[in-house]
Amino acid sequence: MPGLDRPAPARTAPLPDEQALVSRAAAGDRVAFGQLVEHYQSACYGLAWRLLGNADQAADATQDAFVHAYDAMRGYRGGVFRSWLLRITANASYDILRRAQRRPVASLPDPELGERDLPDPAAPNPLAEASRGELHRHLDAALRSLPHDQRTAVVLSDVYGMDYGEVARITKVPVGTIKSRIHRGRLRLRELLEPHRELFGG
Amino acid sequence: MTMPPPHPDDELLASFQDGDLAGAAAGGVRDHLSACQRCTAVIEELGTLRIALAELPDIAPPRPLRLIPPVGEAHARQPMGLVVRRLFAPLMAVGILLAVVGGVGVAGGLAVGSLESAAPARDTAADAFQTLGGEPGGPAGPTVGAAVPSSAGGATRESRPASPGADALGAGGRATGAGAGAGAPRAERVGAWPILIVLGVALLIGAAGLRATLGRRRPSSSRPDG
Repeated sequence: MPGLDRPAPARTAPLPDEQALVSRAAAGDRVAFGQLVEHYQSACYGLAWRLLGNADQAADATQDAFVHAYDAMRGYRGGVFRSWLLRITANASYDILRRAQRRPVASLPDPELGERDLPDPAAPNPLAEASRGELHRHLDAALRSLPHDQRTAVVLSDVYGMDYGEVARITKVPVGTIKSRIHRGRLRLRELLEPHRELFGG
Repeated sequence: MTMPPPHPDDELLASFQDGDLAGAAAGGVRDHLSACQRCTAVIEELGTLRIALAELPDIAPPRPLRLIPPVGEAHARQPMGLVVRRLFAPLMAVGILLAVVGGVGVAGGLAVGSLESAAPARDTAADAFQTLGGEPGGPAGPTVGAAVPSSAGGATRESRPASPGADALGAGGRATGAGAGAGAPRAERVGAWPILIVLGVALLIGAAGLRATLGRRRPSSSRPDG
């Protein structure tokens, strides 16, 4: 983005004609819905992957979220479409996480398998971009090593900007518990990232 | 010699950094920070960390995802979820009711068994049953009817106020046609009540299973607007 000394974060920006597309989708236009969902699929998948730590489960959760979003589209009551879709994705992911925790042997995300799932942001880029990619890789790896409850709270709150009440509703725990999980999660992340402090440019 | 003030707990620092402390607690941390580089660094690093987390990029899915559900699929799934959700509470309530009524019946039957062993009075109990119009030797059905609502009535007719429950339930035992006496097996006194318990428990398990199975297919994301 011009005017910034660092490259803009690769977060999906709203579509220029998003409001019109949302209105059409809410009226039952499947093509409009498809365009919206295609535009935000990386945002949704990224959230699911960071919550679940497993590529297959994350793809399933994203797919579930699209089906449910399609169902819920007619009742869409406005607001930021990306946030609405991310909330649905978070709920779908959290459902999968809860089921995995009920059957830990069958499908709990395997940390070693998950390591291979890590996205590889290293591309032939300028130096700053490379170190930025490295920072993101370390951040994602550190997030993955948090306990599930802390990871979920930190990802929803700090990575995806949901307020504490929203995180509490998704995870079905009291707001006070969410705050505590977020605070402990951040402190743990700080410890984990201590060896890579130079990447933060501080 | 002055000792350096103890550092606040790190979670307290994290709460402070989050703007979650007020009043004296916040003031105490602020005072400490003014003289402590270590804790100031923790606060700054937590701030830097939050900025970095907020800038994590999106991630492209590794395989193509189906963007639009096929016509019919999305809506076909919804009613099932709704039906299960709507039926769940009534089914559970009926199941609990059956189990409780059955449990009371069994307990009553067993209690009567003990009473009868203590003070056998079979003939009056049998008369009571016949007065009520039951058919000796009939199926277990009448046992249920006789035991609950008309226990007091049976007692009145037989003028045995000392143990009204024993009268009616004793009559129920007789209704099985087994010649219920002081030594009759307990199962005969219990009558059809266990069937109610089994039905109730089966209903509870069935309702819970249905909800677990079908509820799973539908993400609980029916709260998109929070």
